[in-house]
Amino acid sequence: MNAIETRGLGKRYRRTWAVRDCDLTVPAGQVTALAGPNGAGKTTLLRILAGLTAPTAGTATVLGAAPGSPQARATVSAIDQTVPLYRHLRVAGQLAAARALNDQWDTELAVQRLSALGIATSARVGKLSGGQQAQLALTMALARRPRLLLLDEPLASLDPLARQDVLGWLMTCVAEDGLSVVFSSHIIAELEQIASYLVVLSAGRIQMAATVDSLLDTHLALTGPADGVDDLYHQVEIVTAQRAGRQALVLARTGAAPPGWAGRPVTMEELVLGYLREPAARVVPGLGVKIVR
Amino acid sequence: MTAMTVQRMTRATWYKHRFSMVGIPAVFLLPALALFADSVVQRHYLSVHHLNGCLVANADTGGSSCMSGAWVSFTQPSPAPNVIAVAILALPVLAGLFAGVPWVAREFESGAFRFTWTQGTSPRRWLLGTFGPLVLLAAVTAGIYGAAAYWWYQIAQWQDGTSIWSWRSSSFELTPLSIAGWTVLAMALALLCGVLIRRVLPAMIAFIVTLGPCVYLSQTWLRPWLFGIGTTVRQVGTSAGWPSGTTTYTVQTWLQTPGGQRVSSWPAVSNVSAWLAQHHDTSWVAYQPHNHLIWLELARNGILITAAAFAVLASVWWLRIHPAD
Repeated sequence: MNAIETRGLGKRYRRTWAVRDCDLTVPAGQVTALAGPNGAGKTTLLRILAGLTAPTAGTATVLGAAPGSPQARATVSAIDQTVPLYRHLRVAGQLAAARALNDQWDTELAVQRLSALGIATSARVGKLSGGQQAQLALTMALARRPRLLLLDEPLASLDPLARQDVLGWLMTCVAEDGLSVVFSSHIIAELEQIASYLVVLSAGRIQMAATVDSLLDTHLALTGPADGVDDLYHQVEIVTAQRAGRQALVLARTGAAPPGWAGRPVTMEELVLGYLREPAARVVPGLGVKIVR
Repeated sequence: MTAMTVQRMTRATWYKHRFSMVGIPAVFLLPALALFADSVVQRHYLSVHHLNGCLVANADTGGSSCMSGAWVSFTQPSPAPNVIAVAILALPVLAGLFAGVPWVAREFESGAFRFTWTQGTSPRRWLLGTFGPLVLLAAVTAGIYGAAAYWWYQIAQWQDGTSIWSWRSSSFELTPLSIAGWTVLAMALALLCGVLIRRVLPAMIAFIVTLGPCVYLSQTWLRPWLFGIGTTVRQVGTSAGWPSGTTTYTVQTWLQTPGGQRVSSWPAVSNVSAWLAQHHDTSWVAYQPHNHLIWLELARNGILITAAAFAVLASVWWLRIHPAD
């Protein structure tokens, strides 16, 4: 079963499409990185999948169920980028409310996790730091024992050490419980550490969606003469080319460097930034890894 | 929703809105206690001075005790009871404004609703599970407050300088049923404004703008219209056979010709009886007897509850088509 499937999904706010013509298939059991610039539609897509907002067009399923359906609500946890919590409550009250709301709730997990983080249950939620609030929200999202976790920039307010800790914890949950995670972030290096599947959104459309390995295996960073870039377009599929003096750095979809060009494997950050620089370039799902302009 | 779901949602609402769930009963029960205490003091005064028998309409002519200084002193006209009566009636509106509107609107404004919606709870369950305990609590405590207000007004109305008449507006509204009905309507409109606008302050303004005309229409149109339904009609003489002015509500009087036609106006003659006899006309009255009062109260409050139910349904419908945009 796929964790996420969307067909022609769209969401319009007045005259502006936040997400449009979104066809996406994300397999279960993966950590999926959702990358894209500000206003790309990441939050809207995650809110639709979490059942927080209704799509204007198309369909979506999460773990085979419609977002917002009882089946989906029972198995999907989500943390919005606003970290929604009842800030006037104490941590214990927030946990008690969450326990009352859920059929399935792992009190032991929640208490142990908060204890390990040094978050006192007597503390008022509003008085916690931004990072602690994010940790509390994440703890409550996982204490529900979900099968799919949707995270909208959850680490933005955490210090680097706490970020590493959260990422490690998420990886443990994925490995031990078979949890699927969709993780949106601006910090691509952070996504690179844990993601096995990559989705790039640009201007509300899916620009790329494939496993990280397949994308990294099929792309190379090529370095060569700037005046050779035009010829290179006839030899390989170029995503983006940057000229600096007489040298050019090209992100290309190719398995081997053409003669006269030095090739090296790309990092995920280079790959994502390369595609974001060229919004017309797309890796079309269902047709293999193919660049269309 | 199953009983277990209701129980769990109530528990969750208790955790989230503990302060309000204690505050709302306090807002109604503390004034109820004050009214009850004041009424006990007044009743004690009447009892000590043997004035209980004077508590019937036109009692000042009913006996020597009702002419005593103690009774005169007790019935000294004062604006206070009327002012308090208006304040009593304002409380359901204030409860809706300051407790009902923020109850849901604040969750939207702070984004906290997303917490509940991502904790296995649907928007509809969240809405009804949040609103249900509030409205139930408010209605029950408002009913108790209404009972205290009713009990207080039975005595206090003797001091407001107007005649004692159970059909007048203040008497009609100062009952447990009316106060609970207005409270439920206020809470339902507060819910609707909160769901539609999703910002506390604009929703409060919208609440006032919505409830104000409801109160105005209820007083100026609905109550008079209801009082005209199901009247008792009977023929009366010019001076005899008229229903009691203190216990009944006269809707209409008219003259009727032997042919059954209504005469639009009374004759401008000094001896109406003679004029009627001469023309063989009869005089008639349509009125509400005292025992109709409770049914009309039930009907009016049924309309309030129905309007409240529509407001709740509209809120659910709006939330379904606009969950969190």
